[in-house]
Amino acid sequence: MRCIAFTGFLGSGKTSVILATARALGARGQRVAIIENERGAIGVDGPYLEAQGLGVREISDTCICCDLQSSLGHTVRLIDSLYHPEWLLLEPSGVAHPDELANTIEDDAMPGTEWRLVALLDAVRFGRLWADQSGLGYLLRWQIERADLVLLTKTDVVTAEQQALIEATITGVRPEVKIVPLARTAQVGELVLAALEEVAAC
Amino acid sequence: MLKAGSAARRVSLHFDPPQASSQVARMIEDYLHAVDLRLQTIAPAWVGHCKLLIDVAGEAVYGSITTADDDVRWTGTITSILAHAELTVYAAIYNLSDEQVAGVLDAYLPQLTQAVS
Repeated sequence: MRCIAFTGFLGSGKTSVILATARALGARGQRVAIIENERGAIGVDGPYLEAQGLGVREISDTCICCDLQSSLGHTVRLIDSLYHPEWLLLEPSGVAHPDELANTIEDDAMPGTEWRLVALLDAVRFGRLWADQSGLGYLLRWQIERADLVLLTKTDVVTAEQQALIEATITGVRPEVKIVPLARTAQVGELVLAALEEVAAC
Repeated sequence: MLKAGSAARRVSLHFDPPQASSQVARMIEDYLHAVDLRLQTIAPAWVGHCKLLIDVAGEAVYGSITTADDDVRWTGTITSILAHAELTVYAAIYNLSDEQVAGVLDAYLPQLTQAVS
């Protein structure tokens, strides 16, 4: 089972990218399951994805990277045994620390799974967040440090110069990491899958 | 550890007379702008996600903002004239408490419902 964890800040576009990726996989005839880790009593992203016809399991009101590490492994094994999906897409909450999430995945041995971490970086907010290295900016650095693939979202609302500057900042931290700019197009899911295949082939 | 306060509210709206999709979209954008301004009184440079989902006959569409002074970004399009809609308002904001976020959402819910009554 290929498992993809999409890390990113609140509002970075994780749910939209997961929806597009799941649809692209569905169009290829692949079975997909989604794990949503939301905070709060009323889940929003999980029901939204379900309304789009996708199978979703929620881990609510806790953080899978730090509060309840056993939840993730348990849920992954449960989904695998019940549905046998070929792909599992995981949306951590916006407060999940990428390094702790990666450690949780590595520590909680899940036989038969192959994990990739995909970092969603919001091009609109990148500059403001990156400048705040004593606050939220340090999480951006961790996202880049632990990512197998970087998706630069919302590039349709920044200039080419701004995008180039962001990409230079990212490669300054991880020169080898693949960066895929994502504007609002119908091909987002296919772009993500193509990039994942390229990363897997490396 | 990184913290974020979150809150969600669900509201059923009945439009009498039925409203054009553009009017409903404007109502949602006005609400999100009001929430933004209120958030700025607590956290002038807030970062997070505030979104308002509208479910019309099983079709889910939402508008959202992710930082102070943000423009509303839409996922999906409201296409029909609406007589009824189910709305879900959700916000999760870094470095605020659940109570603070809930207070902001609740402050403008009456305005949202009165706008269509």
